[in-house]
Amino acid sequence: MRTYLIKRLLLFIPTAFGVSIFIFVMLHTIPGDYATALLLGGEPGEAYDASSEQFQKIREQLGLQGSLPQQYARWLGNFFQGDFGISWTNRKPVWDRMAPRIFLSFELGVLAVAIAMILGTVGGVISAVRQDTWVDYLLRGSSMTLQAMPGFWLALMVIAGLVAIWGWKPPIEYRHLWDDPVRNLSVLLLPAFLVGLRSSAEILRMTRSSVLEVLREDYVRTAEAKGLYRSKVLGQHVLRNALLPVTTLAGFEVVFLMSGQVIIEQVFNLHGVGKLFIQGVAARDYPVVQAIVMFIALVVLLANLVVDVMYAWLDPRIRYE
Amino acid sequence: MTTPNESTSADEIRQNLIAAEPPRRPGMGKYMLYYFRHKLLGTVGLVIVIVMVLTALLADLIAPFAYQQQNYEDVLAAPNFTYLFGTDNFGRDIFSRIVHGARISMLVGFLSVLVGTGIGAVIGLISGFFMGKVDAIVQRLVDMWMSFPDLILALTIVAVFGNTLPNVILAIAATILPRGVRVIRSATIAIREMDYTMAARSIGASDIRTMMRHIMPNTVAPFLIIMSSMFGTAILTEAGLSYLGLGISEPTPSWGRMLTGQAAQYAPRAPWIIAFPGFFITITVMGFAFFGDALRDLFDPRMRGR
Repeated sequence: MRTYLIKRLLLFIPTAFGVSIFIFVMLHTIPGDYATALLLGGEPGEAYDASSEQFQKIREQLGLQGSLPQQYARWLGNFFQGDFGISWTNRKPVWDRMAPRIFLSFELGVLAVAIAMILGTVGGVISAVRQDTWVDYLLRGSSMTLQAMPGFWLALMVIAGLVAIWGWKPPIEYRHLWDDPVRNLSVLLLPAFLVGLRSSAEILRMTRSSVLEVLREDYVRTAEAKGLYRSKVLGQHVLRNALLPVTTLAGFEVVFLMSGQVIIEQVFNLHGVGKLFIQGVAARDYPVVQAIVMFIALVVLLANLVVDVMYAWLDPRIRYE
Repeated sequence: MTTPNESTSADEIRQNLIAAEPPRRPGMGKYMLYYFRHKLLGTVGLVIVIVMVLTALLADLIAPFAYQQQNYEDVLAAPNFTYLFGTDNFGRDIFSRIVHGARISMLVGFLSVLVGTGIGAVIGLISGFFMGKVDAIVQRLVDMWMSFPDLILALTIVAVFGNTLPNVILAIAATILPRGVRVIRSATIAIREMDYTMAARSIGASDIRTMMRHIMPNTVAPFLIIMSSMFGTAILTEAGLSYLGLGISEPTPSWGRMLTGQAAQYAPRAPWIIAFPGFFITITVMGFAFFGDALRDLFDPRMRGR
């Protein structure tokens, strides 16, 4: 177990570095002077005095002075000290714009993953146990449909339906979970459910095929042959083995969920990190984009790390390898 | 093989061999017949795909109205015989806009999948063929690449390069690329171990020749399968970008953009505004998914009959 953990951690560090280089290079393919010119109020391509004091000062503010490797080192060093740079749109530190939004996005994400896992595994097990009955067809059909649907369209339709039929008003005011849990959940539960529902489709498929596979195993037949109750066979022999590979999917789901979450924050007008990211992209506010992409990539890598460690802990075959 | 019967002469055997029909590979027609008969969902998918491609090609002939034509007397009209899918808050015919929107979806879908899986296939081929260090490095890079959520990667690329048609296509292609690498790499590794590849190498075929003549043609099936199944993902990503207002900034309507802005406000009163564009996204994505699944079943005999 310890060697596995160390190996896995050692993999995390170079990957994180690689990702940071990747992001840095990607966002520096834009000519830096384009941005500077834009900031000085000129159009790109317009002549400006590159030697003026004001220009140099702005470059310094934007962290654009020095060679590219120097800029990278400075950016990364600052990043790990919590200094994410200065937003170009309102000249405030990026971190100050992000910080109040992180909890909302985190809570939304956790809720969505939990809902996706519960719906997906329960649905998958039912679908497998009732293989080739109408329940199975219904569950598989709806999961296939869900996967083909744009998540934001599903959300728009549900909101329109709720408004049209029950005169429901989307709650506008967001309260922090610790201040007013009821109000907080009334805002976040529906978007989390919709993101989770869509992500549950893949988990359902995976769970179903995994359970079906285990149901054919010799030890399941033995358990049934010695007269165990069906529920006991399912609970103790089938599920324990079948749900193991599904946990690996959770890491993958986190990646998939992020895309859905960015859009759902826009649909429900939730002021999370995803919404700030969209604003940053629309305004071409590169420090904001760069910081958030790096942040998201780190969250994804960490989530995968946690899932792998959890998997090793759950699966003795890996633990003792 | 049975031992040759003593009563038949060698000449007779030769005669029989000549007379016997050489084993023929089943023709294209046979394959198609098999497909239609055994793959119901796949046939449905293929029909949807064909209908969508034709709609995109013949949009000007099919659409009864110009997509930007505003009919102020018929604002927010419910679906009727003049406006099959109703009109939006500017009185524009939704059916005509969807028909024209198919163009963007098909064009962006096709080109981004072609570029993404194409480049991915070349990298996967090289990575799987040479193995060793090259492969290890490529696989690390693919892992890193895959740690960016699709939409976030596409949005970042659009943010850097701007939201023009070629950039949006490249941005979506970038999200597909790593999957192309993975699929073609594993296919290459399997084919590399085949006897005919060994045979080719042992008679002195160069690396390039082995790759081009012996391995690449055999990766066509997985290539087509991944193309078909990624097509739907590409359409969904494009719709997402358009919905966020960061898709293609051209006057041509796209399905995702029809759902953005004020559409949501009018939706409770006039649900057809958002219902139809989303429905067409869903049905198209499903069509490509069904088609891709059926292709996979056909090409992969292990999956046949499941």
